[in-house]
Amino acid sequence: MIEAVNLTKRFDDIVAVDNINAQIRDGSVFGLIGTNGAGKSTFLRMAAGVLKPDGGTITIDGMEVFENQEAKKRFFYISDDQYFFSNSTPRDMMAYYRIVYPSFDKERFHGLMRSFGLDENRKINTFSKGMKKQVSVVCGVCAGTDYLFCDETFDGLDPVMRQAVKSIFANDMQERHLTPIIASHNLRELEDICDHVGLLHKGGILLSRDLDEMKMNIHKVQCVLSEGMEPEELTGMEIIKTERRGRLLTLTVRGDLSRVEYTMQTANPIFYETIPLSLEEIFISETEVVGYDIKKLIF
Amino acid sequence: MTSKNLFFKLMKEDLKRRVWAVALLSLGFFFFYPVVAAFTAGNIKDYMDYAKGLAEYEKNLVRWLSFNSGMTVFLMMAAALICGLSSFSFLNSKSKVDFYHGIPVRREMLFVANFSNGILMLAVPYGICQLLAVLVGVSNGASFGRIFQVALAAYGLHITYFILMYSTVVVAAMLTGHLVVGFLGTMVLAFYMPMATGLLVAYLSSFFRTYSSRLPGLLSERVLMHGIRISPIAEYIYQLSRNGEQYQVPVPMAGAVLIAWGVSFFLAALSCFLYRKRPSEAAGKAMAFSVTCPVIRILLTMLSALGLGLFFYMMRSSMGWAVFGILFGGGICHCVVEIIYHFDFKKLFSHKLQLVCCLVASLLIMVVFRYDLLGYDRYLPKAGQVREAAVHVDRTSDWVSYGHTQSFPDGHYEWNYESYDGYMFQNMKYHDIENLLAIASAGIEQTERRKDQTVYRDRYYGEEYPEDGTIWSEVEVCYTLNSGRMVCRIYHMPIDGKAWPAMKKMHEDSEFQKGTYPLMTMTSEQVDSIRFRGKYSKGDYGENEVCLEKLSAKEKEKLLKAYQQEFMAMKVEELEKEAPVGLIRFGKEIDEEAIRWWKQQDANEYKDYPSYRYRGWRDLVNKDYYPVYPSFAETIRLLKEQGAEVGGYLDELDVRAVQVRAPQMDEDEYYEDEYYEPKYYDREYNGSSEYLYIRDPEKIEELKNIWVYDELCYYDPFFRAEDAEVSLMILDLEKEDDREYDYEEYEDGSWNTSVRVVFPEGRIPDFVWESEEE
Repeated sequence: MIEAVNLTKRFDDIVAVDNINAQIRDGSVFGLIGTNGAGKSTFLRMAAGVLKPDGGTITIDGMEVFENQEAKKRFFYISDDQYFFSNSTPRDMMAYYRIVYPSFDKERFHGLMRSFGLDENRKINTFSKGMKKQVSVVCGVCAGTDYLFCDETFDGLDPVMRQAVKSIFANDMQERHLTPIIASHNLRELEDICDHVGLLHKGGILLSRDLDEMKMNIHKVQCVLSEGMEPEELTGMEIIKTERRGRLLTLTVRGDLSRVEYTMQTANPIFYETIPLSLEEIFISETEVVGYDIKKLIF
Repeated sequence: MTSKNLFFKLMKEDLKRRVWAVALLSLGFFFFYPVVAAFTAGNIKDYMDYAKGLAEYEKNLVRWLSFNSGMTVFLMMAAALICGLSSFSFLNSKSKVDFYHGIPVRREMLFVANFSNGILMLAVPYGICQLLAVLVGVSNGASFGRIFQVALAAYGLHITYFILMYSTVVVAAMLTGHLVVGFLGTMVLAFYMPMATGLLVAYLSSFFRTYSSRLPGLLSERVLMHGIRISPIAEYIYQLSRNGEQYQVPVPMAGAVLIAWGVSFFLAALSCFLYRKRPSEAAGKAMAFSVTCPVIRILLTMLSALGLGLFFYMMRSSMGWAVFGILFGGGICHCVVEIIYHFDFKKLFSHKLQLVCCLVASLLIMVVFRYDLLGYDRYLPKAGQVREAAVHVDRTSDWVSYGHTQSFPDGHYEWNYESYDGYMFQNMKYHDIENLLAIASAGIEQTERRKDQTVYRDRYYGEEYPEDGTIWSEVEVCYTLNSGRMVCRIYHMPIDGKAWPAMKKMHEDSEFQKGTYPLMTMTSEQVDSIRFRGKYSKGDYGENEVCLEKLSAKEKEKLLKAYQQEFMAMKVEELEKEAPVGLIRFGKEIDEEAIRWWKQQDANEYKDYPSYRYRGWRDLVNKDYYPVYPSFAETIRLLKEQGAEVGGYLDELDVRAVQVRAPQMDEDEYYEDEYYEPKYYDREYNGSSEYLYIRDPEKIEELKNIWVYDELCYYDPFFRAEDAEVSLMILDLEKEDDREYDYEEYEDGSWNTSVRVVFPEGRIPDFVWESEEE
């Protein structure tokens, strides 16, 4: 488990990460979402031991990461601008990673490179941005580490490739309990892959929840209530947002689905139905509750 | 995987990344060593004598491969920069830092791998090319043993200083986060101390007139040289020059090499420490550690302000311009440093307070020096504070030889010069402090007077010292205080002015004499031969001197003691009036060996030795002579006993004419009343010729009893002579055919050379001024 406790990082006068507390459980996909400058990369660079925290700690299974070789063996870090040796080929990079990651799976590397249609002997500087990202991901997956830190790695991948990478992640999660930590500014990119999401803003963490938990606990109800009945009279569920279009109400409510449905049935409305919320909508609702306009934050 | 394996694999991978640098260095060394060795081998054929050609080739090859090769130094400096900056260039890029610091490799291991590679990148190609050059030399006939030995020693020494420079570059790379700033940082580390020390010397010597860097003490050249040497490049060049000064004599280098290795190790450890502490976010920034920013900024700003302040002061001798220089130099430097730190032109004055403090501090320093607020030039201790002292009066000892004859491994001999003041400060224990303080206070008075009258640029050369016969001299005083501290000052003063009584008293003091004239402390056991020059010699080598080699030990002792007693008993008043009649040398065994060796070379027409060595002969053969005065009755008697002729130094010259020229004066000088001499005026400025000629044999005979050989007077600083230039035109039949030396052709042959003489003060006969002009 990766745990950040009161994690703080400053660059001169700028507080890039401000007192963050977070836990990343093993075997899940953690999505780190935030606007540019929110502190995602800084958080990941501290998690990777590149940056030394100015305050607080970040640990992997209780081990401080900074300058800790044992802790660093547990993850592979793909930065937002991954470095490849000049004039190197994917094979050269593999050779280097094999030196520093003893569990590097060479056969799998060859296999994945073939699957992605990448020439191992072609110079990386002739690759497109997306192809470089693919090489990074392949190296990261083949390194055989427990964690994979991806900083904006999906940015630049086409949908097919993104799906392929997701499949690889899913496979590795199942087979060897890989824990990918993915930082992105694009909420939609993470929707179908993350189990847990942390939202960063101005260096602080606004919320950190399991996606399922959020989805199970927040619902959208479209209904037409009986004549003279107002939404406030619906008891047994927490309405956090109400929209009206004539008599048609759209309620965003918090609570267990069965309880919500029971409440609605008991209220005997003219019509009602529960519809799932997209990740975006969940975030909008959740962050609005804590006083933020998420549209300004991530769209 | 073991750490050892990982380390070597990291080294291998790093080398792959920097193969360009290896190739560049290999190419450079290949052209500088094997190619040059092969190329110069072609010169052997240019010699008629193969053996001579080969010897010349071998000598040149040895010089090229040796530690003294300047080109290698240049290569090493360039290589240190290339290797040092490339070893850790990844620290300047965010993506590279993310890569290297994100992998499970400890920074220490990464550091040692890259640091070691930086050394190996140079050491291996240099070693291989050096070896190839040796093999090329051997294949062309040069001796393997000699060349290999030289190449091996040079390899070790050059590598030592390469590592010293390389470690410095790495420290600079660790302190900075940008390649260009890393280069600038290297320049700062390499040149700041030499520049700061140089500036300190410039301030001291520009503003303190009683300062001289050659004097012992905290501000002496010897001590300040350590400041200059706090630079890998300066130390490298210093050791190189120290080695080069001694011809074919190996200079002990073990101490210097050990220090270099020690410092290199320290710098490497410091670099590793800095790397561990270095924040990754420093990549791309100018400076890696914010704490170093103000330190470097202040140091550079102050240096620049003081440097330009002095420059403008020296140009215009005006404090106004000095202030301008300080403000301009400090301001510009501060702004440039700020731009470099922030990569932003708008941040010019982001530390205004620091800038103001630097400028104010620089102005204060300038004022302290300019107005001597610390009283450096006025320093005069109390007699009770001084344990003993040493004094050097330039005019009384400029004829004395300090040093000794030295033999060299190749068999030749040369005079090894030692500094005159060094000898005195080491050997003189002068205890008449009250007397010395009287001289010093006259020196201070003179210095203060001159300070008020003159500006900097006139310090030594332009000051208008009156040509009134005053004897000016540099007087160096070195007090050893009761605490053991040495305090030294130098005065440029008239020694026969206010300080004259004290000066005379000091000159007649045995402590002063023993500390000034090495012969006065010589023992008879050291004397091997005695040489006496009592007759004029045509050449430079004292051909007419008498060598008293067959004297018994007792006779030598007697003569030495007699001379020492008579010399030390000589009063200044006597020195003013008497001129030497000859020169005597008490030689040691090695002096005679050297003379014999050089005479042998002379007889062989220097076939075995190159022409540049001739000067060694002239240097050596004219050293250690002391004057013999007419009043040295016992010395003269003993010399005559041994058959030496004393007196009539120039009697054997066939003088055909005497040429006299009145003293040269500037027109302005002439009109000053105190210099007005009608007889000079008549001759100098009445539109007639400057030269007078006396050809009448009777008059010449009369003058013979008056004139004194000019070179003998050199040995008597107090001798009062007329300023008129007098030359004896003599007949030298041996040079008859050598027309290029003719001064004037004469009907019956050629009197073709001249001898300079002087007339004692007030003894020029009137008929001289009545003689004919030509």
